[in-house]
Amino acid sequence: MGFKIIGIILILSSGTLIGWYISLQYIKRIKQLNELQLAINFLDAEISFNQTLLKDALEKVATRINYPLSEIFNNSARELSLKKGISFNIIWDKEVNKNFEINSLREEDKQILLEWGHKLGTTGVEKQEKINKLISKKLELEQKNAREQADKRVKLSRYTGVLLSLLIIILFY
Amino acid sequence: MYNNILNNLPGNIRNIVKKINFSLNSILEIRLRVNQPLQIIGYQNDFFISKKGAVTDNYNQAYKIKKSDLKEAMLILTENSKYALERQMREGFITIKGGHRVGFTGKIIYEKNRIKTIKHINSINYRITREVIGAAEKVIDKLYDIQRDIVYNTLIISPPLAGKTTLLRDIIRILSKGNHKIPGKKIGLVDERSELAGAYKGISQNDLGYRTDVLDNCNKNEGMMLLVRSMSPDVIAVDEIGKKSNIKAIEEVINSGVTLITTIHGNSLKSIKSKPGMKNIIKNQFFERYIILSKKKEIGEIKKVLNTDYKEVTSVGV
Repeated sequence: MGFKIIGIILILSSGTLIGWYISLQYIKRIKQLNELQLAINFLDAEISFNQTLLKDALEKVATRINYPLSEIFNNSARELSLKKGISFNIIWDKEVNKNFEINSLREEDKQILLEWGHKLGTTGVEKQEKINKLISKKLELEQKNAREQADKRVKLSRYTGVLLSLLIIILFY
Repeated sequence: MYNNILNNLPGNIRNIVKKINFSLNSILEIRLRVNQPLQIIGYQNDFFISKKGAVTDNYNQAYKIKKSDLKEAMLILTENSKYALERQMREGFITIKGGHRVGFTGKIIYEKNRIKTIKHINSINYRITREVIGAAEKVIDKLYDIQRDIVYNTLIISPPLAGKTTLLRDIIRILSKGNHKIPGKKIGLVDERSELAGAYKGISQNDLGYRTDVLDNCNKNEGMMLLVRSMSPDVIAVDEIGKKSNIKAIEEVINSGVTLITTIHGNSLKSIKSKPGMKNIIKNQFFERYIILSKKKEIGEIKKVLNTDYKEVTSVGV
């Protein structure tokens, strides 16, 4: 009997935890998209008002946002300062892909980030501002999507976690 | 000093230049032209460089510059931040750390009848700047009036690559520090091309003495007026005047009682007079000293120093 109770508790708690974990990813995505929005605004200001070099601007942005998103900016800045003559978009692609797993972003968010990286630093101030605005708009849409999804699925995944573990318990015992 | 040049060369070229078996001291320019041999310009002559870093005259043995080399060079030079170098991209050169000037040519893009930027770069020229401490020692006494304790308005006339920027930089250094005859002067420097101070992120990399205020990357005309108004300089120094638009600013500086020391491209006083606006400046005796440089014997050779009557100044303080 003791074993059964321990088993029930284990299944129930792990099911609940999995549900919580999945729901947390939705919430984290919203948070990270917000942070990205902040990063774009900050970088845009650095470009248009201070004309800060890209490596310095990225470094500054990295201090304004949280880990693990900051890794992409930090590592890109570091790679750039090595002055190997590598195009920024190659560095950016590598860093975005490398850090994709540890972030809670989705494929569509990644595509926006990659698109941004391919245009950063390649034109004069005026065009950079336009690009930043465009990327900011796209992110805004994703933020809206993310919030809608979170509204629907946060509670759903939490309940599903609990209910599925209950189902398993009923089936087994 | 050469590390600044090496770090800004594309990888392939950097490795070749590192292998060159003679002193980098004798190099004036490194030239990269697409599909053409890697070329180095020395004081006396120029030569091609092979893949192994050997000097050669043979076109076939020389390393041919690839388009990708130039692309890589531009990425390094602009530090992937074209927006921060818009003016430089328009004017066709970038000043790198150490004050070295890197010029380039390519396809010009126009906007409203003005050059907007240069695309598809086909040629890059790394011009090595040297700080020659003491280059102005020979002339400095001739530029100073001991009795009145003022520095004369001075125009340095020189053909390209004859050392006018180097001379001006050393004049600034000596005047700003002062010596046993000349008390140190407050110098305002408008460094439009970041060549004199070699400023990196606004901080001067070259020795400009103790009393020099630098306006980096600043338009000459606006910069001169800004300094007169705000920094109370004894002397204002600017490089390469000669455009018609400079004339008004020059007159205003000199009329405000500040000494102006500047340079202009040319071979002689006569050739300068033919430039629009300069004729009046010279006729009205705005400048009290003319230093004429030549590169016949060696770079930085001071041919003569003239006074307002165009007579050679031989003794000091005249």
